[in-house]
Amino acid sequence: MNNFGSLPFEILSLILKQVDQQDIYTCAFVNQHCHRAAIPLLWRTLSVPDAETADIITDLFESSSSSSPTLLGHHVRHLDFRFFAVTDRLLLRWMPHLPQVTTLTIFSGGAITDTSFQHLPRHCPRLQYLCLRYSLITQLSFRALGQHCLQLRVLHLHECSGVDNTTLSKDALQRCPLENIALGANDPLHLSNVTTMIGLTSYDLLTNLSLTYVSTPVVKQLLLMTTTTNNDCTTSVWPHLTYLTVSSCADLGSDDTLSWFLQRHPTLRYVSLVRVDLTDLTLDAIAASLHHVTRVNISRNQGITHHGIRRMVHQCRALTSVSLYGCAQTEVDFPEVEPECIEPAIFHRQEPHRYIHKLDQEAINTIRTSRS
Amino acid sequence: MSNVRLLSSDNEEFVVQKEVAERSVLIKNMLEDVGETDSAIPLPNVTAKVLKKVIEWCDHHSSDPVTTDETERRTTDIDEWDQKFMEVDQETLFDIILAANYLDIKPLLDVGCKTVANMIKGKTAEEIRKIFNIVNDFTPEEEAQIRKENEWAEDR
Repeated sequence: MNNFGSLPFEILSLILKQVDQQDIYTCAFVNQHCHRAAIPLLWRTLSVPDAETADIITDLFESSSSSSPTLLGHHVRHLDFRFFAVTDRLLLRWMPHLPQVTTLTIFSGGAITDTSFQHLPRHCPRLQYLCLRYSLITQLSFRALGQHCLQLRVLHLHECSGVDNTTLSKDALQRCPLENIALGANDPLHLSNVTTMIGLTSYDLLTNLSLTYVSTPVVKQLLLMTTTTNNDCTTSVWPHLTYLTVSSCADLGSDDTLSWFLQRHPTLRYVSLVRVDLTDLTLDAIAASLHHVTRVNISRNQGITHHGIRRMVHQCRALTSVSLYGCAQTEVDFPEVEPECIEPAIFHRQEPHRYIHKLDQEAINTIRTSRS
Repeated sequence: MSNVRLLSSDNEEFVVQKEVAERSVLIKNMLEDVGETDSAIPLPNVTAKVLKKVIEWCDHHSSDPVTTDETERRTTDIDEWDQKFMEVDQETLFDIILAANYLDIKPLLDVGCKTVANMIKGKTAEEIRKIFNIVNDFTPEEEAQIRKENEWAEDR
């Protein structure tokens, strides 16, 4: 007779995917068969909360006796150091045990240098997603990534001072099928090298691009270099680009570079332009060109008016939400909106009118139907 | 509307509407491969008792849209009809799950797995053994080893 304890392995796994971590842990004790199904799921995501847990796991990796037929580290697919500042020493000890890792997230990477990281790509060649912040790694590590991680699709680097004009160049990451790149810093001075950014134009699979605190002249030059014109026919170097974020880039919206770029990328579906000194001219470019855009975030831009926002809402028929934090748009500008679009009371200063922070689907529908 | 004949492992024949039978990807592919046929399709892994239940489910769900989106199926709970349908003895429940897997009827497999998942949620290992009549085949030393290796993952 079939029962839970003897179901085929793949069906037991399907059942365990429907319960939470605690229940999976419990199932590891039910019998040998359940144990075999539970262990890979328990170890699939390794999220390290503190040093104590890290030490326990190090001991487990390095001890030879194990209750699992497969080495425990081989089950790990997602390695997450979001809450714990990992060191070179720890990473070096762990990486030989983690050959199947596909995603790696390090938020406090201040203690991560080439000492460990240059060896990681060799040990973890299946890496597809890398998010690294505050790390000091240099070209040595980036070149190793490009050599071994040929499935790397997502690269998010924030405040990594070793990012320079060789990082994205021909001899580093060019063999990686990068689709999603985010580069950011805490100060525009840190990402002010034009050649660094121009490397981005050679990733023709790019669907998502995010630039935070990249210096304005550099962003402008990059945007202008993304199209080529042959016989009156304009083609973009990023024909698949659907998701664009540019944040904290002063004066980007003050001339027509951004509008020029948007007009040449009608495939964009999500556009986030936060604190870039936008004017209604850019909103009109969105209205005229981005027919498929569904979400727009134009927070922290004080130079736009409700006229420009309304024109965009009317013309972009696929639009479902507009974020407007800190845009000085009040309930007088948009009398149509419901209370949930108005900023919470905690932000209310002594001004006579309350600010709105978004247009949701309902507000957008109301604006469209009440056109005067 | 054309009919399809299905033959259970214990040689009972069922005549089913084609669109009902095609909820099974296995049968759908077989029909596409052989084309129009008068002979019954043998299903050597499914008994008449279970096949009858599976056909009942396919009949009720014959006009459902085919969802391929994993996340969409995952987040929705079991609907009332399916809950009633799954109120069967354990042996039948596991037989339905195995048949759904063999016949490749993903939404039925999903409902079956969710039903079992609901039976183990929040229970202790001993309670789970009791519900499903499972013998604990670990030595105390093995249990201690499992605890040592996985305690970090408990209750995250």
